[in-house]
Amino acid sequence: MLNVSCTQTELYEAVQTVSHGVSGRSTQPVQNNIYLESTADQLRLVATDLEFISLEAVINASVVDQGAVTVPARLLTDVVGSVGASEISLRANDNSMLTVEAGRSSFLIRGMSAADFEMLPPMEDALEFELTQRDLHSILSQIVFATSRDETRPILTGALFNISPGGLEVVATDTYRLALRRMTAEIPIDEPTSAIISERALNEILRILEPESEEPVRVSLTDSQVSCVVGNVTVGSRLIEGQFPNYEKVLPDSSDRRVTVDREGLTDSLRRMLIVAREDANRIVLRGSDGELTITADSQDVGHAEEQIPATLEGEEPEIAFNARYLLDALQAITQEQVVLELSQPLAPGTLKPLDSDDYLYVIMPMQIM
Amino acid sequence: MGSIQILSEQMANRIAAGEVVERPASVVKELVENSLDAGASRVEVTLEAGGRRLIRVVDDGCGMDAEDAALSVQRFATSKIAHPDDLARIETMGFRGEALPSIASVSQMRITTRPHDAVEGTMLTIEGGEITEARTTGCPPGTTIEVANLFFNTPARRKFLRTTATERGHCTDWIGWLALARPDVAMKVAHDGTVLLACPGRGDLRNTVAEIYGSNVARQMLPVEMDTGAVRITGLVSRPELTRSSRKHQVFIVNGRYVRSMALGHALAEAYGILLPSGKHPLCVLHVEAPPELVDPNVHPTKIEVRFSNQAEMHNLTQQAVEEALERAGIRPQRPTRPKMAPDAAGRWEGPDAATQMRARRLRVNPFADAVDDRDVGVEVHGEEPVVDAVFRDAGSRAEGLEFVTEDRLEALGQLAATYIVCRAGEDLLVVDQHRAAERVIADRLAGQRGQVRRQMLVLPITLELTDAERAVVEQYREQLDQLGFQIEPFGGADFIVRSVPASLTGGAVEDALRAIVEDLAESGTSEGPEASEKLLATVACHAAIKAGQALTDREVHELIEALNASPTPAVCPHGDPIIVTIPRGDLDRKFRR
Ligand SMILES: Nc1ncnc2c1ncn2[C@@H]1O[C@H](COP(=O)(O)OP(=O)(O)OP(=O)(O)O)[C@@H](O)[C@H]1O
Ligand SMILES: [Mg+2]
Repeated sequence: MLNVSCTQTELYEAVQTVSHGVSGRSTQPVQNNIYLESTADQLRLVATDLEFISLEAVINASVVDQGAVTVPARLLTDVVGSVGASEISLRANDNSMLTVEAGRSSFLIRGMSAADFEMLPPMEDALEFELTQRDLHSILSQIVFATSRDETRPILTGALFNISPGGLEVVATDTYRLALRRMTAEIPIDEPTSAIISERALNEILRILEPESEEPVRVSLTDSQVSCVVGNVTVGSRLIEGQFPNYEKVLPDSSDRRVTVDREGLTDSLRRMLIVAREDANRIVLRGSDGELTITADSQDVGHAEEQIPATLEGEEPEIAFNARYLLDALQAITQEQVVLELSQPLAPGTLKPLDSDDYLYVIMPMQIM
Repeated sequence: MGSIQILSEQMANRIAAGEVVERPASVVKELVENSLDAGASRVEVTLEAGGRRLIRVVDDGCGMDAEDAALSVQRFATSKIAHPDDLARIETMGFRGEALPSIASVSQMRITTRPHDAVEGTMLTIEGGEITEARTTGCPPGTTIEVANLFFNTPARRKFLRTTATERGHCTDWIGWLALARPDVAMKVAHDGTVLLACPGRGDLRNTVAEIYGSNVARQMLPVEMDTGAVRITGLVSRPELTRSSRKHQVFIVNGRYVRSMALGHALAEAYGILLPSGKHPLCVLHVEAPPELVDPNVHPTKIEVRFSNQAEMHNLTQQAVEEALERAGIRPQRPTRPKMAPDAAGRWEGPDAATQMRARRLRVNPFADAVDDRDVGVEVHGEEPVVDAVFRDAGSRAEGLEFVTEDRLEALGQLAATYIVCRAGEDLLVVDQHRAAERVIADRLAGQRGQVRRQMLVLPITLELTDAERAVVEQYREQLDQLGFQIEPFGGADFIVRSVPASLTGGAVEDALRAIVEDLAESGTSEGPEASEKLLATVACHAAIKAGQALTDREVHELIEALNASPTPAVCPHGDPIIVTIPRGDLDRKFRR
């Protein structure tokens, strides 16, 4: 029977991380629990909805006896979070009751048998490679927001990872905009392969990555599953099956109007325009002339807003309407100081990218100017 | 086929009587079924003016001699059953001897027919049921039946017919179902000179599905294959990502007959379980072959329903067959411990007690929850008017007398049962139906933008593969859909391409909403005038709105109620149903005897 003690801080952090794996929607009650297992010298915590998310954390513990039990995620989080003591001991009995003792407090939590708890199947013959936390964070933060929330098109709720020996190309689209990020990396394969990973898993990974860390993330991939090991946490997920739409043909190959602007300047201006634009489907109009970009928002109910920012214009003078939120999403994900908007006809897609970089491409569809 | 005998009085009474002919589609169905019963290997249907002016069905089946041809238009004349016991094991589509006489009595009919071994054929002209001319004629073997000017002598019923496009759509729906039932028979339909459907009859179900629903759909279907010896369940079911918001594209064929079946539909849904988003239904074409004595097709006047004498077992077998199909495709985790069910010597099924199994499952999905929403019930070809229409027509009258009294703004307190939003206004308690409130908000937004549409262009245009009936409504409503923000263009063949959607709908499942809108319009039929655009607005709002049963975040709850506060008509949804139920403070006081 499980019988361990560990520090409150480590346990609380692990419980909080792992409890994101509980969907609360599972039809098997035991899947709404966190699985706790004491191994030789560690405590392992797992929660999974068996589909999009499996979260596993391993922490140091002094193990008195090995065993496993499952307990409701919410309850465990509240109990572990509420106790003040620095050491916590956990003890399960034959009836899947878990005793939690910390300082002078003691809780008896009604759990369920660990035997019924299901986990994602082990991954066999997986492709494995490493990226730094910083690189993976940079990739994910630039594309995840462009995935679709529309569950009726499951494929678009994930991002496509095209993996080749020389690196990664990651694409996400909700059909209104498309984000594409490339990164060179050494990947031990001969043939390119691809995988569609759900937004839920990606956001979970993003949450535990440290943006500036040079520590490695170990990625494992099979035909049906992916997992990422970040420190003591493993995020796993089933891949989304199906054919990602052919996005290459929508990447604009030419533009006759280029606008180069300061990223922060444009971001601030768009935020101000949104005050009016949000009453009108977030629609803003961009017009360029004489070294300036004029941004306007109009709403029948609210009124009018307008602002000019300096810009470098090349080619014809642009006039185009966008959803300001879609623009802001990408502007916030770009780190470079200057960005370029490549435009053509008012109803043709526009492209936003950092100046002097081909790593990131954001295709955004206009709204109609009328 | 044997020669025709008049059914005895006794037997005639045992056969459910009823109206057979409601509209052109019912004629098409009966005639094509007769052709199939006659062993035809090809059937060609020609329609004019939605079948109102002409329906011609040509087959290469066994044909009739002069005597049988004359008998065929007499009531209760059938070659298909001769003895009361035959009723217990019907293997043909027809068995009542009622279709031809019924059709003949309300149309101008001509039958041209020749058995394969006869040298000459027979031609009968029938006018309102009376044979006005009978003569021999030269003709190819097989039977041609022409039905002209349906309801020419019953103006009241003629008035009930809908637009050409709608009637045409119902006809092609039926031919599609019959083609799916008999992929081995070549079927072709032409309307006013255009070929709408041409199934080659090579016996390949996937081919037939491609012809009717488009090749994209066909590609995403998984094979079902189960054989217990007594019962065989075969066909195709969609991958879980291919769904529709109505059950119209669930085709069940029981012993060769297209039927509606609550039990089979439920079994299908159970097999997918949580793989399906709520409110979504998979597509299927499932052939169920069971010993005829277990299947009673004679429970509905138009033979559209069947009853299984072992309903629970059929349910479980169907569910199992579909589950296995999903498992084989790796979509559902394999369940190794599944009890295999097979009939014992007495034809009964072993395995876990069916009733217990169903009870256990019901705890998780209310099997008939969807049936409550009558907008979702497919329009029966033979039924009365489409339900949807009745809803719209009554809307005006129901909305009268409904007034939203309170002067105060609604203040949201929280969501109840994922369906209602509980609010306070002044001292009163108000309960808001979240779906209807969302419909109102969207309809306002769309209507407000009529002069000034906000379109969001799409990176990946949506391709719509439509059935014939759906194509007809898209053509009819194209301009109005465009004014709402849906820019839809023909894209060769049956396909349309959607280049933009209303900007105010981009937060939700737009593609799906659009499909549901098209299906809905196709089922309710086309209409004209200003009514049509109101109806369109209501339909769009309905499908784009959040549904009942959808959990909302606090923020979503507040946004919805704020938007409702801003509406000029917050009390009535676009269909005319009330949005808010008010429980006045006074009522509460009384209840607490204060
Ligand atoms: N296309 C055809 N080829 C050969 N025989 C036909 C054809 N159509 C009708 N018949 C003959 O005419 C008879 C009457 O047809 P009818 O459709 O009225 O009755 P039914 O098919 O026997 O029963 P039901 O009313 O249930 O359809 C049939 O039993 C059949 O013998
Ligand atoms: Mg018949």
